[in-house]
Amino acid sequence: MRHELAWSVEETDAAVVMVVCGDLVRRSATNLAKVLRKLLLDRGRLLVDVSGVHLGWPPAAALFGTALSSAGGWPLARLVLVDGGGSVTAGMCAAGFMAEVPVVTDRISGRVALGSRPRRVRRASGLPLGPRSPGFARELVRSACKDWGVENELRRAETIANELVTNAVVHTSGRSALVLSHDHRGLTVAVWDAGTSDVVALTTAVVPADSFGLRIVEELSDRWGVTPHDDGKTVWALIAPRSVKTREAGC
Amino acid sequence: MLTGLSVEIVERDALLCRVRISGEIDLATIGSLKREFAHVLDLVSPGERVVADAAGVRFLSAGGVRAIVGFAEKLKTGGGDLVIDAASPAVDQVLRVCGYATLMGVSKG
Repeated sequence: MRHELAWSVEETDAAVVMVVCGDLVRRSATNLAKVLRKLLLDRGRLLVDVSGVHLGWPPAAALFGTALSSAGGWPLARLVLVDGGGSVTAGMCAAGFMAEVPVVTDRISGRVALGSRPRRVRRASGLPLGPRSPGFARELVRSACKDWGVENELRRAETIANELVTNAVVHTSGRSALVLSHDHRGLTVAVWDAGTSDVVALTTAVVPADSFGLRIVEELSDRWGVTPHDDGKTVWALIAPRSVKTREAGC
Repeated sequence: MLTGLSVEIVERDALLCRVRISGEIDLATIGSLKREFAHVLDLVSPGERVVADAAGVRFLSAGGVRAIVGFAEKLKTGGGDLVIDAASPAVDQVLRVCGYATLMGVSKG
């Protein structure tokens, strides 16, 4: 027996609660993600009661973290799921999504959880086209580092983001996006773009001597890499906490 | 421009040209930096040293390093050189990483 996904929003004194019921499948996931993002942008804090949701398409569990990060994530946007026995918890747990979107069993715990920073925080933003894009990305890095208390990593993160975004602007003509995240492993700067042609060049082990941009990314990060997708690629770099890199290339 | 770039000649004599660079050097300002460098190249005499005060450079990109290195090479071709005698932390970090720490020397001028 299938039930169309439906939702309602309850305004309570302590928090805005969205109650969702029905089958969460591919099509309904897209709609729900849009509504969630809008509510998060409007209200900032949101409890979503998914006790009545049947997770019919497991990848749909990713929508909660995606909606949260596209609304700015911690501390601007906060999202906690309440699941009193539905099938969403298992899906969130299996995919490790609970690090970003906590799942609790009742609304009282949910209100408490809205006050605590999740183990992993993420912020995603589309970037403008053209030469202003790197400066816009640096501004996003500055505000995220400040919001997440990682100002120590600011200079490295800003410089890495600048080079990754500059590459995206110079080598591809389509859309691009910046995704910043922070957890116990450190701060990750990731840039998605719609280009796929230079994935092979980027994944070769040796950074060309004349590529200052990639040399900067390699020297200032602890790890970096390229992930190809159907619709483009993501170049990412991890800045581990308190890592000391004193190598001075060419000196 | 809000986050612009400025290059001004602050001192000039027969042996030395002192310039002050301030602002952010990135994709949005790199064209203007290259034009300013070309202007300085037109102005200086062969063998002249250019001393750059880059203490006010809040951001330096890889493209900016390429422009600075290109400028230094052109000066060298004419028998002169480029010395960066005051570097902001941003300039210091990026020049070191790219292997051009030697550009940052103490000016004898």
